[in-house]
Parts: sequence; structure tokens; C-alpha cells
Amino acid sequence: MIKQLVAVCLLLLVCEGKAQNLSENELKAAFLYRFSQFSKWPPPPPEKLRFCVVGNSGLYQAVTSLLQAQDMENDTEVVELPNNQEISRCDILFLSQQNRQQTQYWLEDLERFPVLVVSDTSEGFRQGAMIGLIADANNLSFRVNLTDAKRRGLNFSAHLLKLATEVR
Amino acid sequence: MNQRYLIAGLMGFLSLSVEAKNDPLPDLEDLLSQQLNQLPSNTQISAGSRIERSSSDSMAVTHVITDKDIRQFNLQSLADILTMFVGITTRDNSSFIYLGARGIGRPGDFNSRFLFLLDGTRMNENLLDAGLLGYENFVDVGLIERVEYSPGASAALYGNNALLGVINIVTKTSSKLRGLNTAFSVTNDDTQHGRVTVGMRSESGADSWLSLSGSRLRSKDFPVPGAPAELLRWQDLNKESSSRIMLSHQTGSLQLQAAASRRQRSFPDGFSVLFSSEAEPTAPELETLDNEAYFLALTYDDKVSDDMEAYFHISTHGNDLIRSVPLTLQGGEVEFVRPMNSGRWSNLDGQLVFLGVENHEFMVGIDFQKDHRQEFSSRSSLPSQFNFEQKSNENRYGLYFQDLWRINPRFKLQWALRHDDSDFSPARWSPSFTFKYSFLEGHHLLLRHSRAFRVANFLERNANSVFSEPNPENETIDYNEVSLVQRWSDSLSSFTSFYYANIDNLIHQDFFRPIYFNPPPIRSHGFEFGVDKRWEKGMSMIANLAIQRSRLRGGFGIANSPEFIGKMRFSMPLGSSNFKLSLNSYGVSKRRTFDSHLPGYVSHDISLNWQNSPDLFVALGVRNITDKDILEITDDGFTPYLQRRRQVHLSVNWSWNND
Repeated sequence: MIKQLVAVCLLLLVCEGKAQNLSENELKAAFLYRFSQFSKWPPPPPEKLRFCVVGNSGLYQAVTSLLQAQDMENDTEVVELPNNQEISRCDILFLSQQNRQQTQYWLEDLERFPVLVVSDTSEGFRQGAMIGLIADANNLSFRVNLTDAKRRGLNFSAHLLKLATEVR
Repeated sequence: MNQRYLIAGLMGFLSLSVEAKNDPLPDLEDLLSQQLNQLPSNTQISAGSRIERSSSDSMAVTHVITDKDIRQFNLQSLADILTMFVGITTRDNSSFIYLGARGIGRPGDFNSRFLFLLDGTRMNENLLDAGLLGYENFVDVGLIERVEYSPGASAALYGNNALLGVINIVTKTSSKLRGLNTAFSVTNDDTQHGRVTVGMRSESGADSWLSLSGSRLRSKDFPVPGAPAELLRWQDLNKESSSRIMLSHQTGSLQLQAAASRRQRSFPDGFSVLFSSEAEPTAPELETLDNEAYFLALTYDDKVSDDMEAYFHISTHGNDLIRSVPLTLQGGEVEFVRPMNSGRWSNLDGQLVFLGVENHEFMVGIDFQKDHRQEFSSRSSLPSQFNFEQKSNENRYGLYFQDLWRINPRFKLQWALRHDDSDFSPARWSPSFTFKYSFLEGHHLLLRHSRAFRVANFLERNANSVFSEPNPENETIDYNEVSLVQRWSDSLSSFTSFYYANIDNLIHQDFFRPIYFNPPPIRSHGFEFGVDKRWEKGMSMIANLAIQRSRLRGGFGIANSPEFIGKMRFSMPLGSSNFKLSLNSYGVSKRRTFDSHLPGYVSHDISLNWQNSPDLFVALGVRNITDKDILEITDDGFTPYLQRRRQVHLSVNWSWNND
């Protein structure tokens, strides 16, 4: 039995397969792009989607590369924010690796603006991000705060809500 | 013949294998199933701080086993999951599974020195304060999203029982259980397990699921080596069955959970088999165990203002164990004694997190447990010594405060203080101090000092009062730890922990009478080290080693305390990314018992998994592939029990969703 199992495994081993090898930031950038597709801003819709990234230069580069690859350069803009002065001009704000109080700083003047805030920490999600894109040891998954999003005039497609780990 | 079918089935899956898509931008569902081929920069954990935190911000070393590990290695119980963690050992006498860690897991020690949480709710029962690790646990492993283990003394946050570590079970939501989700597994030793879960998410985001599961172990091998032929004849009477129901409904900040389980175990009474006077063997009398448990919980968890998060929880629980023990009287007639342990209790917890002071994260909380019923009783038609009833009830309170102070980007200090009181134990304070220095990005040094306790449980108090002995003193631990958590690259991380603990009054059962006493102080120290390595295309390896030494004052060793525990799990995709090969190795050095030593051992498991889509997962594997004899002593009967015998298993997990 054991020998047969080992033989089957070796047989499988020599077969070459295809698997995607996205880095964590590339994966987050792909999620961010998909989130923008499944989100609806209050009218009038933004003419040019402005992606803002905080705290992660690698993610900023990954988002830039992805939008170029999708031929979206004319319809989108990506900026890396050093502080929260121009934050209300963002349509999508990705807060990366921010703890509770750092998240508070970024969101303190954002209460009235329909900015889709995405965070990759559970602290950021609990402190006001509408989407928490959280990693476990093997995968990324996301949680949605629909109540907060609706309060700011944003809405999400049923497909995105269905796939979320948690909807609040 | 069965093995041929299994191989044929495997080859069938091979022919069905579908190559992975290579879309340049996967859709959202594909992104969710993409495996991270590098170590994530942050994961979410809560056991270490009693609040959700990113792993890089955590002030305690916390280890995690995910649902993917559970499926990949076909883990069948909470005990199987815990065995994967660094330094943890389990021992099973086929009636109860015992847990040991940090050199403490003596025969007869129930699992009361660990705090068990289910989604943050305390789950230790209220008679032994024990955690239930086998089929009597009402959480089916298929419903578990992850299990977190934070080793070390954590009473400053959690109070009683968080002496050696905190174990938090986090359940799944309907995103992984939506539609119809089924699982079925079978083993070569006639064990079957099945689960059906129905889950849905409404348009408003409300999340509901209901799960039913059952297990049946027919004709279990007797766990004692060299069982006599007269007993082996009746092996088909050695069996077990269990069933579980669990439901969850979450809407906004509120979550309702309810669960119930029943486990029935029966086995031939050894006395009536071995000392039967009849020439022709007749079916022996059966000893039975019937365990029922339930809980109902309501939780509120949300941000209530810009500066404040709130958590409130109320739950009620019950746990009954009824045994039926045949007694052969002098005249040959048989009488049944029916001892019963019955517990009912409720928990009321509240917690506020306040962020209004710059660089500080304050947390204040209160825990209250009302033990409505703590009861040991026995019924029989025999005279008085087999008929008794001991009842009690108790109130337990805890108030705690914690501050995480971010001194600067490199230095953090977290301190906590908790006050506990209860009806049958003096009030006590439990402090904790943790200092974190991030000397390089991804490299953290943690220094921790804490004190924890365990109060004598109802069994220990009650047993002593029956014999007019004073209650044993509460156990206390002074715990010191130095840890390094290091992320060397996107594909390699490690942790290293040195700990030193003084443990006083570690309650133990007397050898000659069923009472409990406080032995001399124990000095426990050790070293734990682990690495997590990823390669491209999904290959990964996690290895860890625990070196530990626990001694009574005077240098005497304690039983069931292996000095070396090593574990390694490795997995790699086989050619097509739909197949994955997983290996799990586990080694424990020799352990001292009362009068001898149990030999060390190394055991290996292998598993081959196939996943065609998120909806279908198949695992075929062999546990203890070399059929190594593993012996453990679980109680003061000094009988060694065989553990983890070779087992071939096949499991299928299938989901159907018409969205």
C-alpha cells in the first residue's frame, strides 16, 4: 500500500503544472482593482478613479503596474500619500499596516467623503475601513463594513458581499 | 481489497485533474483561493491580547493552525489540531484526551491549566474546569476557521486556568459554508464521520449557518497492549458514536451561537469477561459513558464611537457525563452503578477599548461566571456507598485593565492587571508586563513577566471535603519569557522563546486516597524554536522544536514530561497544482512514569490531497505510517495506552451553491 502510494506521488511529481505566483502586494493590488469594480460611488461617479496608498511602497508599485497592464492608465491615477492633507481627493484609499491610532489619524477628516477605505489589518477594519483585506497563513480574505459604507453613500455589489468573510 | 479501491479511486482523480487557470487577472473568487507563496506580512490574531490585533503588532507569540492545515492533514478532532503546535502533546485513553505542554501534563491532570475559548468565549466546563478535546467537543473540525495557541501564563487578561496557555477556536462564516457543504470521511479501522452544513448570507449581509455532524467508531481496537484473547473476542462491543449540532447567526454587530453535542461510548466490562464462571462465553456486561453538552451565546462587538470599541457577551452552558458501571456481586449477580457529573453555568463578559489618549490603547473589562449547578451524584440499588449526591454553586468575578503604550515606533510596553475573586477561593491579583523592541523591520524582541493562577476546581474541593481534608491551595505560576520573532525574508520566518517559571501548589491526586494535595514547588524552564519556510509554487515547511525541563524542588523529575518534542510538516504540489502531498512528522523523547520510563518515538503521517475547485476537496492519507507503538500513561492507574495506531483515511469535502 505505502509503496503504491509513493509510486503514485512520484508519478505526479514529474508532471509539470501551472500555478500562479503572485506576490502578496500583487495579490492585494488585484483585490483592490476588483473591489473598485464591485463598488458604486454616489452620483456623480468619479471620472477618473484615484487610488491612494498609505504605508506600503511595494503595494503602490503593484497597483501602478496592474493598472498599466489592464490598460487603465487614462482612467485611473495612483498616488502614495505622505500625510492626510489630500485624502478627501481619493476615491479608493488603501491603508497598509496601520494600527488603530494610525488609522484614526488617516480617517479623522474623512467622515463626510465617499472614499472607499480598504485596510489590510484587522485594527484598520475595526477603526473605520469599509473593507478589511486580511491575510491568514495561506490566503487573503476580506470583511466588509456595509453600514459604514452606506453612511458615506457607497454601496457594493451582491457578489462582493457574498464572498466576504463577514459583513457588518 | 479496500486498499485497491482506494488506489483505483486516486487514479480516477488523476484522470479528472484540471490544470490551473493562468488568467492574468483572476476574478474575485479565484483571488480568494490563491495561495500565498510567501509569508504574509500580517495575520490576524486575538488570543494573545484578548483583542483583534495584527501579528506584527502582537505582544505575545501566538501560533495558528488554519482550516487549510486541518483539511490538508485530515485532522479529525481538536486534539489532532493541538498536537500540531510547538511543545504540545496529547494522550488518549479512549475515554478522555489529556493535554500537556511546557513539561506539565502529569497522569491524572485534566485539561484545566489551559484556557479554551470559542470565538473568544470561555469553554472550560465547570466541574473540572477542563477543556474537551475529543468527539465530545461540540465544534466539528470542519467548522473551524483557525485555532490560535498563545503559550505562557495569561491570567492578567483571562483569569483562572490560563496557566500554561490560551487556546482560541475561531469558527467559519457562511463565506466558506454557504449553500450546502458536506464532508464525509472513512478509515480502515471502521471509523466514519459525516457533516452537513447549510449556510446563507442575506442581501443585508446577515450571515447564518446550521451544521449537523456525526461520527461512529465501530469495533475500536482496545487501547491496552497485549489485551487478553477473552477480551479481544468482544472487540465489536468496544465502540463509540457522537453527534453534534451547531448554528450561528450574525447580523451587524450581533452574533448568536448555539451548539449541542452527545457522545456515547461503550466497552465490555473487563471483570465480567475475564472472571466469568460460565463455560460458554456469553456477551459481557457493558460499561457506558454518555456525555451531553450545550451552549447558547449572544455577542455584541463593534466600534461605539471614534475612540471606543465595545464587546459584550452573555452565554449559558451545560455539560453532563453519565456513566453506567456494572458490578459483579459475590453471588454472581450484576448491579449497575450510575455516577453522574452535571454542570450548568452562565457567563457575562464586557470589555471596552479606549483610544482617546495618544500612543495608548486602553482596555478595561469584567468577567462574571455563575455556576448554577456543580453536581456529582451516583445511583444504584446497592447500599449507601454507591448512592451519594454532592452539589454546589459558585460565583466567580474578574476585573481587568490593560494598556498598550507605543513609546516610539521601536518600543512598546503592554501591562495588565487583573483582580479575581470567587466564593470558594481568596481574592488574588495577576499582573503582566510585556516589553517589545523592534530592532529591525520584521525582527522583534519580547520580554514578558506575568503571574497566573488556577483555583482548586469542584472535583478537587469536593473530594477533599468528603475525606474531611482541607482544600488544596490555589496553583500559582511566576512566568518569565524572552522571545524573538523574526521575519528574515518574504519566504522565511522564525520564532525563538526561552521561558522560566516557578510553579507553586500544582494540585495532584494522592496515590493512596482519592484526595488532592499540593506537591513541592516545580521549576520549569525550556526553549522553543520554530521556522516557517515557503518556496515558489506552493511548497512549504513548518518545523518546530521544544526542549523543556520541569523538576520538583530537590531535583525530582515529574511524570509525563518529555524533554524533547519535535514536529515538522511539509507540503508540496505535485505537478498539477490540483494535487498536493503533505507529510507530518512528530517525535517525542522518553518520558518518566511513576516507576519506569516510556520510550521515545517518531511518528509520520502522509496525505495526498486533490482539489478540483473550491467546491470539491479529497484527501487520502495514512497516519503513523510505520505503525510505531506509542505508549502513554494518562492516569494514576499506571496502565500504558496505545496511541495513534496506523490508520488509512479517505475524506471528501463537497459544496454545492446555486448562487
